[in-house]
Amino acid sequence: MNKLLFGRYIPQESFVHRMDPRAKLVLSFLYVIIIFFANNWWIYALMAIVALLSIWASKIKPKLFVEGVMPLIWIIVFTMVIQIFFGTGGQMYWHWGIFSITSLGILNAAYIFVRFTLIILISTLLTLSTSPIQLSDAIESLLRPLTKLHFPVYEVALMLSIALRFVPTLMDETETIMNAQRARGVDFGTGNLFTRIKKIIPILIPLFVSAFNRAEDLATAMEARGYQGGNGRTKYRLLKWGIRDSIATLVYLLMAVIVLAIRFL
Amino acid sequence: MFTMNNVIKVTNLTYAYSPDTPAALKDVSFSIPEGSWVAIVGHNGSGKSTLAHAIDGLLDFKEGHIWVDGIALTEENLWQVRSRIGMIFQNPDNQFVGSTVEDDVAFGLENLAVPHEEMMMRVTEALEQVQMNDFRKKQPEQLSGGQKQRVALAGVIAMQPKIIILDEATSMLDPIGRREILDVIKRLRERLGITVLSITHEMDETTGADQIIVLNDGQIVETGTPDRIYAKSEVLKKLGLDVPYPQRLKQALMQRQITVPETYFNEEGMVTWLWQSLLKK
Repeated sequence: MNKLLFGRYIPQESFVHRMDPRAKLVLSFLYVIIIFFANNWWIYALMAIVALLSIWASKIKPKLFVEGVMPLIWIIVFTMVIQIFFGTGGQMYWHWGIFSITSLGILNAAYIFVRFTLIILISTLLTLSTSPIQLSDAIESLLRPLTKLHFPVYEVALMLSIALRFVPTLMDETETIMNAQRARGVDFGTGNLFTRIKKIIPILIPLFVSAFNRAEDLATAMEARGYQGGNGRTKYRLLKWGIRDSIATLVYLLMAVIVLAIRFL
Repeated sequence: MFTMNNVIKVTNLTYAYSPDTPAALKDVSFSIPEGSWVAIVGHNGSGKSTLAHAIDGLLDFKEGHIWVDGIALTEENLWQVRSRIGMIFQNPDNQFVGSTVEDDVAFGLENLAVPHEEMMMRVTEALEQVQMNDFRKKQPEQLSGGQKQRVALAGVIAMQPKIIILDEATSMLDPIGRREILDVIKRLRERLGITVLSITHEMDETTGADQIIVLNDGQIVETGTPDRIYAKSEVLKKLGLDVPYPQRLKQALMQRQITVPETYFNEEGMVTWLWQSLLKK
């Protein structure tokens, strides 16, 4: 589980780390949307430069980003293979039954590779440079307008932050329960699919029961500390839009304008 | 001590979790003077945790009355009563609400709608009191059990309550963690005159108390100063409770036909007496 890069946060002091999480979240979304407009190498080059610039500004080791792409490499390769063999148009190089390799197919495959890689780079940058708490703060703040439609924004944000806070605790507990069951002779590594699923039950049930107990304890502790719901609370963590956020927004908007200009003009 | 105001008063409290089960509390009455340290002891299932929950308004009891700081505990006054009580529970993991140390300490203040500037100050102050200020950005899984309980204590300190209730707050800690928590609370009490109600089955934790209340099967069986309670070691043993270490030593000496004074000694008193008795020979 330690290998998993998703949701891992690398604390550091950098331009990107000190940015407002709202800005980072919105700009990442913007980047992903813009990249779907890309249809020539100039646009990809520009967007790659922006991505690399952002990564450089975060001071996070490039090696971590390569690790972020690696688990998804098979999906990328699979999509590329499909594009190469089933792509049509352009100059035909090879043909057999329904399979064909064409110049346009190869070009599309290359586009997809770059597109995937850039999306993964930017989303990895977002999760590596923003702590889960900041992310849930940002989501709460961005969803705030929905309170007008009676959407329980505060409650959703609280659930999100409690869920994030209990992920490592529950992971530890799963490990403990698994070891306890191993000590009693359960072998998790063998058997066919059906017996393996059956072996999950002695982990799942204790884990569920304990999650219920934890929830009850936590609710009691929250009530004892005066929690009466989302209304009328003040906030300890305040999000502040700074000069960095304005600079980053400007860069990204400029990129978006140029991309759209190349695409449509 | 009797001239002081009673900050907690409980009369004829009876409570059962469901109509079919025997009552967890039966006709419990007692009062706690302001500024004192009271220990409630009893074995598992004696109703001591139920009692603590009842005082904080976490139980909906029908029979009996509770007054906290002169306010009767009713549905309308519930939050007023709760704002005067800080409670620390047993499991360090399950009461950690915040994602980081400082968020957890601030949680109670956010609920009280304390303005941001003051919140920052009070969080820092509370963390300094428990010597956890260097850990303020840490996440719960990076802390030990004792450290998490210190954070829970800081969360309570920040809310500036008149009463602190420890609901077996040290039972999941190692001896060092336990000592640390109790020391911080002792210092806090000396400085601010907070009333402490500690619920425990660890008799060694009751040595600093002004008063001990012994619960058994939901009823109060004994009330008195530690000296008085510890002297009744036979009664305590019958209730499944132990006596503090000096008392155990005394009993072991008695079994070896050495005459020991009847009164209870703390560790220091025991050492002095041993020195003196050896000198006499």
